[in-house]
Amino acid sequence: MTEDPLTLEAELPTSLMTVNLGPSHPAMHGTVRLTVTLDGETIVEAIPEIGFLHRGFSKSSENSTWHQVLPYTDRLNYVSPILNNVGYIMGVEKLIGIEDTERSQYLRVLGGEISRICDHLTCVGAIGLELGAFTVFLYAMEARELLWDRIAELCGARVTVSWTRIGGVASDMPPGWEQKLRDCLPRVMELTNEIDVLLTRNRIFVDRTRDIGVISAEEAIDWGFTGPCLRACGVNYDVRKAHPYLVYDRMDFEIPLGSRGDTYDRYVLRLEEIRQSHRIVLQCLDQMPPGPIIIDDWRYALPPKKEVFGSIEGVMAHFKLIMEGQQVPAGEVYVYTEGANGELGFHIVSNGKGKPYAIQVRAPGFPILSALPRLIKGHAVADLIPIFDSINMIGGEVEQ
Amino acid sequence: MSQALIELVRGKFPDATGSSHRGDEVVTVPRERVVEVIGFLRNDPAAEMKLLRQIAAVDVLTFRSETTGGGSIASIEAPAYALQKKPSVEPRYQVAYNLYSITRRQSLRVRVELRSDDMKVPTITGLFRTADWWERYIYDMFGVHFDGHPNLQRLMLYPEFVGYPLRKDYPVRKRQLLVPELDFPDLVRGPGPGPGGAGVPMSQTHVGRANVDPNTYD
Amino acid sequence: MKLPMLRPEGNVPESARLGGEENNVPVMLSRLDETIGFFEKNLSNALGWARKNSIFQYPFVTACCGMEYMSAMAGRYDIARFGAEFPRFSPRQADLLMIVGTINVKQSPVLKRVYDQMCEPKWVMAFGVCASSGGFYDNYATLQGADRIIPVDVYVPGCPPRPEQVLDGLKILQDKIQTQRHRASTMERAPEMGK
Repeated sequence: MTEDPLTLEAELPTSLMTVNLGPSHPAMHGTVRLTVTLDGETIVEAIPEIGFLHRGFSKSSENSTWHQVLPYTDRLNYVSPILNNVGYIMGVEKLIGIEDTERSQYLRVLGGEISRICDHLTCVGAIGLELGAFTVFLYAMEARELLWDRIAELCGARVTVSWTRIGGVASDMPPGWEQKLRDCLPRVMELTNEIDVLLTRNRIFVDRTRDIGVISAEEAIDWGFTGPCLRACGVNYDVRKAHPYLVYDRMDFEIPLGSRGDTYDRYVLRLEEIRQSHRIVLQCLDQMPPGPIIIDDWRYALPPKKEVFGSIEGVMAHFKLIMEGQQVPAGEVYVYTEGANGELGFHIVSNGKGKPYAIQVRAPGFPILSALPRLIKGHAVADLIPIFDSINMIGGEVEQ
Repeated sequence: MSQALIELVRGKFPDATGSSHRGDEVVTVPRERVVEVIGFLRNDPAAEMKLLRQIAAVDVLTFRSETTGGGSIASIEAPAYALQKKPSVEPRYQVAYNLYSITRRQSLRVRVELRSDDMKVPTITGLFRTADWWERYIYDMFGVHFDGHPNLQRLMLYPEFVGYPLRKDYPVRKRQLLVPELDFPDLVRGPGPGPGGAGVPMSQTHVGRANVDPNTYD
Repeated sequence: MKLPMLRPEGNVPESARLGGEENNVPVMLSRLDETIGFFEKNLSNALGWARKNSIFQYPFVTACCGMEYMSAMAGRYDIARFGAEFPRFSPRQADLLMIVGTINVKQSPVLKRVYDQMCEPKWVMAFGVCASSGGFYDNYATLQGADRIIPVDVYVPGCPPRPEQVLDGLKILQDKIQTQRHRASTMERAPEMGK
């Protein structure tokens, strides 16, 4: 319409241009290569290429004992390793047909939700960082440091914890740890609120994320979305509520839902999930019952050190477990838990021996990343960054 | 409740067989019917399985024969290169489709069995768009060919890669390098790539293995 | 193609150990070495001091170690205190290549090219065990350490390393930069780019 004086009259003739982004590109998180075809500044087509962090998770796991797989699961989604640990070990327990003790269930939920907070903080911080809000990144990192200190005291490592065991967890809360956690959580929430204040109503941020990367609910399901990206479209599917595992049925929390399915909704939803996870953590601390943290079944759980050094049965059980591994009954299960980015599934096959026969992981980010060309099509190149951040692609789990 | 799903599938497709393990319901269908069955499960109002969670595959070559042992005594196991000379177990491959219904909160696994001399499955990319990458992944790792897939290429690995790494007869440490490695003395990791070299840690050299094939390293 | 040997003194061509009593053993000196006089030594020290305190890093972030790299960058550990303030996301502007995470076979040509694009003098830090030796990923996909394809100066162990370890590795690298020989100009030909 030429009557509008603001409309540029001259039509710029453009030819399609192909730009290669990544894999070593700061916005691609190091591991994805995008071949983008551009018309001016508009993305016409994008072809992602992955595999730059393929580390052979399945092959390595098939050559390790059941417990030796745990460190590999840590490094799938390295931002929330406890959730991966729990997801995998629940699959092994499902194959065996045992349940862990009540206290260890609470501990798993507690650790998992702290991990989820860390994951969402990292994602939100990364969105902020790559949209130019460096302060947000620093706040998120500081909040994450506070929680990682607590995780380090609980599990012995900051990032890659390998904390769960078949039938329980590796270590109990150290003395005084509960109070430390209670002391640091308000600070974490304060920093989260600061991020909220800085970003949620920020005009620049809203303009760059609102109605960017929209996907409808039906299409999202068709693409295999789960987790925050699916809930941002308004679909109420959270494994914690749909199929409560561990002690999630005793927790009082809500599932935040978005309505538009755009980048902004995905961001707000993650912030809200941090608050809900915070509620779960506090409830866990309140309800935590005393008791053993691991089952007393020496076919699967290591005997206590007192028995190993003091009794022949203990020595034998320890030797057999270390040298041959747990003899998990033959079978094939698919186990699913709610990871930080969506449904984390493990397809585990056992042939009754000391090693997993086959493990394949359903990484929540894998289907979401495969939909990236659909999400960014028609947007400007600059919009690629917030979209890519908001789906929170974690190279370790997507490329295994 | 999920048993009802198996009945539902069997009522429509009598040649499907159902089984159940630890609460996971499985329907094994012939290969030609897989698109039909999954399409039925997706669209039938009693199933409504709109979410394809995952496509997984299993190579059952050593399912019965694998000796026990953990990481510490792994070296007594049959090496992968010896498996290539042994007769295959048929049907050797299984492809499993894990389906889920968000509205009805029920899940079902559809399994297809394949012989190693005819590894073709019709694609389901027409039903689920997420099947695109999953099928490419299975092709990449197992070499299962999905008929009718629009872009069946390697996903995780590179085009120069020969073989399919998740098959049981692919050696764990057989690398196919793209960049020549520097050759320098390294006491722990050995002098470079090759048998007894960089690929194999000192603790797991070929002790007790008489028939080491010098061209492969396991 | 014959690739250059990894030299213990670093990647600067023709560099030799300076300082340290144990290195001052009387050996037969060539005429070139004799001409290294007082000024050149001081110039080298000054250049080393300048270079070690303004490290421009290129983070080649691939995997889990990236989380600890973020921590090392952020407020609490703050790698900027040691002069490695700002990541440059162009290898041509960087002089420290930080290999943060696992390098697999598919990634290795990328890493090699990034290294070749960097200008001399350049240093390489292997951040975490995967970049140092492959770690516990010993299978068909992964490279057994980045030093299989490019020379590495400092190895930081840990899976992933704590930020304190990273800072320690940076200090070690700074010592190394200080003690190696720097020249105001080099008469050498530019090294041939690798394929």
